Amino acid sequence: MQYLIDVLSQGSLYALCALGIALTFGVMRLINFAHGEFMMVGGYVLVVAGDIPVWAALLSSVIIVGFLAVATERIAFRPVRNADPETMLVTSFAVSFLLQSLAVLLFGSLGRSVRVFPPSITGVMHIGGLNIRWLDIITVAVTVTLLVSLMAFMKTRHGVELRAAAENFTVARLLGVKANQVIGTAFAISGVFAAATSIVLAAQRGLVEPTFGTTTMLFAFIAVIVGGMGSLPGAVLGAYALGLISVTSQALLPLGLRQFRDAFIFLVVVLILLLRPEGILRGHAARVRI
Amino acid sequence: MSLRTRRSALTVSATTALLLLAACGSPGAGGASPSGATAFVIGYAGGLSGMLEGFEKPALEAAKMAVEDINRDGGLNGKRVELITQDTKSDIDQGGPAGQALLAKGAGALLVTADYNFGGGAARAAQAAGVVAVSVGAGSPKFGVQGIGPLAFTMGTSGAGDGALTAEWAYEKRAARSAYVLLDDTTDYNKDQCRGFQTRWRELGGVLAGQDTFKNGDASISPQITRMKSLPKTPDVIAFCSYAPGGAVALGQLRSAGIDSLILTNSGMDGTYWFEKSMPELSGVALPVSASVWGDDPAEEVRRFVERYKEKTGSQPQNMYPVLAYAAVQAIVQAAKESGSTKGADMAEAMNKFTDKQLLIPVSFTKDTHIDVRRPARMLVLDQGKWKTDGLRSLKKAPPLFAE
Amino acid sequence: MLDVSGLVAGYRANSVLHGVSLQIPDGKTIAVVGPNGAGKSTLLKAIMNVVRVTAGTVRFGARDIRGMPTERIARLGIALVPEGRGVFGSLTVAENLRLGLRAAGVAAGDGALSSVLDRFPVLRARLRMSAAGLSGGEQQQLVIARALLTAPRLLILDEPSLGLSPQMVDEIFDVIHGLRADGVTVLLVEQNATRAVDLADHTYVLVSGRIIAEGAKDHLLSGDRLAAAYFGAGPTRSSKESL
Ligand SMILES: Nc1ncnc2c1ncn2[C@@H]1O[C@H](COP(=O)(O)OP(=O)(O)OP(=O)(O)O)[C@@H](O)[C@H]1O
Ligand SMILES: [Mg+2]
Repeated sequence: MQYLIDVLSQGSLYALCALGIALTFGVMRLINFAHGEFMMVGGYVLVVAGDIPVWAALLSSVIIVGFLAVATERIAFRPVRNADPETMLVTSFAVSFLLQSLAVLLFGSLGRSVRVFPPSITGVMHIGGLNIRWLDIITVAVTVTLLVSLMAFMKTRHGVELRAAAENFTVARLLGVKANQVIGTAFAISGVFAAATSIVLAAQRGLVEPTFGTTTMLFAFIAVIVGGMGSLPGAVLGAYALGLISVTSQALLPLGLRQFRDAFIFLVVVLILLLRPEGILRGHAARVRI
Repeated sequence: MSLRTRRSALTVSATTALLLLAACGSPGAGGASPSGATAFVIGYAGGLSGMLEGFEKPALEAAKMAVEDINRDGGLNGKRVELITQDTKSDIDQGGPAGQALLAKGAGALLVTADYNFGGGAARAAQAAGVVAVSVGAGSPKFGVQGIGPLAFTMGTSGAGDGALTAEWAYEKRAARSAYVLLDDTTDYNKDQCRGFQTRWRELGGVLAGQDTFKNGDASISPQITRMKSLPKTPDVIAFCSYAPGGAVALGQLRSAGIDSLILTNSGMDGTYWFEKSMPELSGVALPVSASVWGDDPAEEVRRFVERYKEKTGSQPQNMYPVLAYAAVQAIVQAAKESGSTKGADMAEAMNKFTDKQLLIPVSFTKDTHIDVRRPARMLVLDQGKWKTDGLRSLKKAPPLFAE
Repeated sequence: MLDVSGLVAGYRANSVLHGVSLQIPDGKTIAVVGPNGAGKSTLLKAIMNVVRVTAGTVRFGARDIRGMPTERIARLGIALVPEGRGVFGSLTVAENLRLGLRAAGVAAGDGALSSVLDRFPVLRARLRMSAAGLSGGEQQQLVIARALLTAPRLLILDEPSLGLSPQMVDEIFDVIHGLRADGVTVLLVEQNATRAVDLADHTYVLVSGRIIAEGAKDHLLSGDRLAAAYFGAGPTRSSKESL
């Protein structure tokens, strides 16, 4: 039962991050390795924000990272939009490297400690023998809120355009859907998700360093693959599946094998992909385009 | 068409500008021009940019201070000592080439990164060229005869020794009897620390309440905490074999889950940067170091050095590596003086004879052991957000340096 | 209305079209026919700037639209219903239609929607269904309806009868007839060549990336000119039957 809370909390973190990755993959077929660095920037915004009120710090993080994501698309990804996937991949690596170097330059490589929420809500609640961290509740609540908002957005005009573009970009353009606008929207939302992830992650970690987002981003990326490239519900499903796999393997593996936990996680992932090569929910990536 | 061209040209120039900006931040590689015959050149191969920058730049500053001091006192047998640098960009694969570049510029000895993997490449290059390499603080006993070669030395102390020391200290001074072992199995040093702790803890008669592992990159160690919380009784101490950043994250989560056990860790958790905002009142963390940079080191020379360092750089050092780097330069120059030679083999021969050699900190090596196993440690204890030194301690019984 | 001349276009290194010219006057229905792989779809994609155009001009009304972003061309009033339909299977039927209504910047008019739905009554019953659940014929109706909702000045259809039952093909051709009667300008690419020629005011025959024949139905259908041009041989069963 206690582990279930751990699964929910961890899965939610992966889901927040995975949705950001899946959104941009959906419209651009871009595997954005700089997403972890968007999160890192969000973390540093919280560090710099220091003692301003929590809501103001969170808002600045969301705005700045959202803006950064859109700007990155304009400056770095738009010129290579029609290039082959490898070029886009390399570009995202370059952006990631650049942002990390910039962070080292500005803040040093040691990292900075950060307190996101006041101490009163970083404690533990005891309910019927369970230890529930406030942070777990916040993590799940943030994820659910953003998920519901995203679902609501997807029903709006811009949301429908985004979904259409993710399914078949060319046909969407043939209907007059503006490519730049729809990709910009995807990046903005992706940035908001990166900021949300960074808030939860910074609260959970208490420390922001240049590689702040890297590990979470890698796991979220695996979640996206497991869930089905380009499918948003798939990304969420994949994230919770990965949370379940990693918590259970940490909890159930005997001590001698626990050091191979990650290898075990990847093994399960490979098995899933062998059974369902296109992920749990089939993504649109594999579908025929005109 | 022209718009598109212009736009991508703009992008290229913007990207270039940013890259240049990033490049400017790292100090130019090999800034000094060595002057061969009239000077003895020490090369520093380290991560002056990238993820190790936070450790390496302060160490380099200290090495520069040592060189200045030595030159002020007449240099090395009348020769000036010069320091040149080569950035490894915190990339393991750049270690070897960086070492070679320094050797090609006439370096007569190398200072390398405080880690077996990151510093090993440059040290191997030095070994191959017959030049002494001293790691600023690698904690691996392989950094020497057994791993790299007879010309490699490290100023650090071993993980096994550090772990054993915390076991003795906690058992004797804190009357701790039950322990939990939490190992971040990302590095060999961490594994050595936990092994050394466990060996001594058993010998002392302490109880091992349980053990678990995690990874430095883990965003959350909730499952580990859940397991620990299911123990009938909270352990007195947790042997916590990790390092910041991941160690800081895990430690914070232990505390916010209400686990108040005394945490026994290592110099990788030294510093205030990782908790000052998140847990400003943090207490109950202890670790052994070769020197305290928090103003209360038992040795006056260390206290004075730290003051000078702060004055010169305007910043508080966050760990002992500046002290070790200063002593490393001293060790190299001392070895050359004592052997009357700048040949690697002769210098190594002299260093093998160091026994409690009084440099900034005492340094001891033997023919087979190129890591210090004699140096008394300072136990740093965190109390209300402040590091305090709890006296000097020497190991009563050393665990094996190498795992069987 | 649309004036294409000397068009050279293709994929990456190799050109598929080698200097294609055609004119589509206002209010007329123009057909392009040709064997598989002739470059018909490529021609349509070149008009919409979906494939790379390396030479030639494309004018729409008074504007030069060559090199314009696809969505701008669409917003000028050209709607292409691509080969293989292109329904958004993850969207509902209603969302697919709304996309046509709004994406082109048309003020959302329920009037437009209901008049299109009158033309395609099967869709009205399936508005809330996922578009992936529609039959082939229904999907084809959906994409045509969606294209019509963008209020195009020129409607381009790429093989709308492909893969449909004969009955459904009749229905689709009825729709095209209806559009014609309403004065919508149509560019039709069809496999079902004789039927297309029969319907169109003017037909171009495209073979291996070149227009090798053109004319009105009387001209093309007389003396097996079409078949000769098309296959470089005698008439085939299918073209004869249609006659
Ligand atoms: N995406 C593509 N990449 C490379 N070549 C292509 C691509 N699509 C089509 N081709 C090639 O271009 C040529 C023309 O193809 P196109 O689809 O325009 O023919 P078509 O006349 O529409 O044929 P069909 O009647 O089969 O639809 C063919 O040789 C085809 O192989
Ligand atoms: Mg075709």
